[in-house]
Amino acid sequence: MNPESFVQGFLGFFKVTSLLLIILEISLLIEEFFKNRIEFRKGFTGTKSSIAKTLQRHALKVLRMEGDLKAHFGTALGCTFIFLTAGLLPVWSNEIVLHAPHSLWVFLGMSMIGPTLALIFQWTQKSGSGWPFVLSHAERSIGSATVLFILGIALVAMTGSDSFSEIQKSQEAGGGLVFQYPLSIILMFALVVINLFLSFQTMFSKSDTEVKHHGWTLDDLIPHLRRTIWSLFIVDTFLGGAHGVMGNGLLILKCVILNVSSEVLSCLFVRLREDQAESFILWKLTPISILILTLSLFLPSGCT
Amino acid sequence: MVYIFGYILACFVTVVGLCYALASLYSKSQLQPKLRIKKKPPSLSSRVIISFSVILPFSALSFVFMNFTAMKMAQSLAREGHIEFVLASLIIPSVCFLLGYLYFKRVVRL
Repeated sequence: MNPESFVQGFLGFFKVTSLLLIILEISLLIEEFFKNRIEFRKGFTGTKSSIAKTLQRHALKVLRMEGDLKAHFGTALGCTFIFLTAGLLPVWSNEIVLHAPHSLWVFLGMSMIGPTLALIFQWTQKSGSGWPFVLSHAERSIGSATVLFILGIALVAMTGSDSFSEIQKSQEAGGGLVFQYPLSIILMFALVVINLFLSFQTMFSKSDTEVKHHGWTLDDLIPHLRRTIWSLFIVDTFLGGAHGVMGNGLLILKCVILNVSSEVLSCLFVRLREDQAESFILWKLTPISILILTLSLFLPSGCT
Repeated sequence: MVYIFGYILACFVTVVGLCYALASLYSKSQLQPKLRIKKKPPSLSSRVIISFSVILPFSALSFVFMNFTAMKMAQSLAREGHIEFVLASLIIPSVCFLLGYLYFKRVVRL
C-alpha cells in the first residue's frame, strides 16, 4: 500500500468538492436574486431580498440539517457515487483527478446508473417503502438514457475521442469545441435541456411537496449537485474548461453563467407535467439528437 | 487502486462527519421544534418497483455495455468514415432499451 497515493486521492476529493461547492453556491445566489426580481415583476408582494440575505438564509438552512446516523450513511453512499462521477471531469487548471479510459462513457453511464442504484438501495433498506422523489430520479435518469447516449455518440463522432483528457487536449490546441465545430452548439443546448430534466429544474420541476421526507438533509442538495456536475461537464467539453489566462476564474464564471442562464431563461416556459416532460425528452429530443448525430457525421465540420 | 480508495474514504468520512456534526448541533439547539411527527416513507407500488428494479436496470445495463464495446472500436472507425458501424451501434442498443422502457410504461399504466 502506497500512502502517498492514498493521500493524493484523499486530497483529490477536496479539489473536486471545493470547485463544485463554489459553483453551486454562486449559481444558487444569483438564480434566487433573478427569480425574486421575476416574481416582483409578476406582481408578487414580498420582502425585497439581496444576495447577502440569501447567503445568510443558506447558512441557516445548513445549520438546520436533520437525520440519524443511518440516514447519513445512506447519503454518504449516494454522494460517493456522485463525487466519483465528478472526479472524471477536469477541475482546477484542467487537472483530472480520476483518470479512466473512455471516461466520457464512464461519466454518462455513472450519471445514469447512480439514481437507479439509489432507488434499489432505498428499496432494500426500507423494505418496500421509499420516497417517491428517489423513484422519480431513477425514472428520469433511465428515461433520458436513449437521448443521452445518442448525444454521446454524436460527440464522439464529432471529436473522434471519448475521453476527457483527449477532448481537453484538442481544445487546448484549437480553442473550445463550439469554435472548432459550430454544430456542437446544438449538442450543447440538448445537453443543457437534459440537465434541467435530470435535476428537476424549472419547467421540469415537480410541484408535489409530499414526495420527500420532512426536514432538511443533504439529500436536498443532491439535485443541485448533479446540475453543477453537468454544467462542469458541458463547460469542460464544449467551452474549453479552465484553459488560458485566469483559467480557474473563467471556469467558475462559465459554469455559473451556464447554470444561471439555463435556469432563468427556462423560467419563461410553463411547467410541464411529469408525462409531458418525459414525452418531450423521449419523443421530441430523441429525433433532434439523431438529427444532430447525422449532421455531425455528414457535414464537413465532423471528423468524417 | 489505493488512490481511488483514498478518494472514496475522504468523501465518505467528510459527508458522514459533516452531516452528523450539523444534525447533532441542531438536535441539541433550541431552534429544533419541540414536537415533530416523523413521517414514514410511503410503500411504493410493488409492481412498479419490481418492473423498475428488475427490467429497467438490466435493459439499461445491456444498453451501456453494448455501447461500451461498440465505442471501443467506433472511436477509430468513425474517423475512417465507417458510418454504417456507428449507425448500427446507435440503432441496436436504442431499440433494446426502448423495448424495455415501453414495456415498463405499459406495466405502470395497467
